[in-house]
Amino acid sequence: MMSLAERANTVRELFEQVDRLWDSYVGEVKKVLREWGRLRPLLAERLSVLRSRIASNLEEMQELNLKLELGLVDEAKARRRLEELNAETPKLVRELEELWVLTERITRDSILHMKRAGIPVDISEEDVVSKEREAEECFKASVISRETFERLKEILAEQLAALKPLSPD
Amino acid sequence: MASAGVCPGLYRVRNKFYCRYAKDAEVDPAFMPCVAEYWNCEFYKRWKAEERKQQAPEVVPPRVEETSIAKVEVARPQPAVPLPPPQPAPLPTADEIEELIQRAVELGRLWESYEREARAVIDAWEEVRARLRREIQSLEKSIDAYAAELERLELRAKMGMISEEEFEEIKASIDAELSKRVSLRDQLEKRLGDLDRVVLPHFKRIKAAEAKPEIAKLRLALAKLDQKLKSGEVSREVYERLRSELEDKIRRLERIREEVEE
Repeated sequence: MMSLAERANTVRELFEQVDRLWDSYVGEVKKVLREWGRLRPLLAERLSVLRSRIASNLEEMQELNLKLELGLVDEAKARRRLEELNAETPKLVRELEELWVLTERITRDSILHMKRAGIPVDISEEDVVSKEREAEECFKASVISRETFERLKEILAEQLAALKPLSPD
Repeated sequence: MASAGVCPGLYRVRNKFYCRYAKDAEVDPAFMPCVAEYWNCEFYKRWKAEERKQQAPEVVPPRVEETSIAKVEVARPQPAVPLPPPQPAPLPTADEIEELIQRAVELGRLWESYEREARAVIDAWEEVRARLRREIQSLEKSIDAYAAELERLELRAKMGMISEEEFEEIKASIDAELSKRVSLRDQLEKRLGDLDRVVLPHFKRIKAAEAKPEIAKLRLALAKLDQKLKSGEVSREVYERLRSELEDKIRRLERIREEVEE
């Protein structure tokens, strides 16, 4: 039978272990956040380029079709360019959708872990709302599919929820 | 006025044309009156005037007779020497005429070949130009994104969310990417400018001949575009974009037409 002192020591050791685990958790969070800090500019840049390129391809396709109707362009050349755009655009859309969803999932996870680890969060509710607007505009301009838009909306809603103060329990 | 034909001062060395009357300077017969109305050309007129001057009899100033104190002679009027009648210019030989015809035919052939080549270059230029513009647009987006990330990073550093070391490391990597893109964008813009500078003279030459019908065609397309907007076949956004593009083309062609007519 353990004495009271022995039992108290066991509890103290458990707390020490919890502290070590906590320190290790916070350390890991910081490590991942540093990696995320390095990756984020590259992702932000690629997403921006992809959105712009897809929007410009879609505009060009609309205009080429209209110019063909108005007899303003050489038909063979216009058809060739339309083929190129038709081949290139879906690939860009797939890349954009995949990277955008991934970026927002990582952002959501980063908010959760920063809050848990007591690290100040570098994203505001306004930022999330503005991202929602951008996703909606992209969907309306056919830059992303409805499915991706819905998925993004879901993740952005989770980001907003994660930004709310943690409940005491 | 001289008869229609090729200026006698025009000659060709390989693919280039030169003018005897302009100190053998290189000329472009498409833009000089060498083939038609060459008698209006300033070089030709100057040469012609020189030629007339040389054909006219030389006016000899009256010689002052030497006088001496010992011998005084009164100069007697000399009988006027009749001028020889002006010699008619020798008729060009059949060979000369044939040679001129051949040169004019050759000019036509050269012009056709130039026009074909210039059109091919202009077509390729329009495609390359559009691609360069798209690339520059992408680079602008890229530069904006990196600039925004840099601002965000500075803010995080100011708030103490990242260490100084971490800030410097990420900032250096963003700066490197940013400067790569800025330099690439500047390079592409410069190349676009270089390209425009060499192709535009050919564009003007080729388009000058067809400016009028082209403008009429574009105006018709504008009217059709208006109808499409009214009937709801195109969105306001697409309409505005295309309208501004067509108006821009019309303005450009009008400028070319004005330059040619001047």
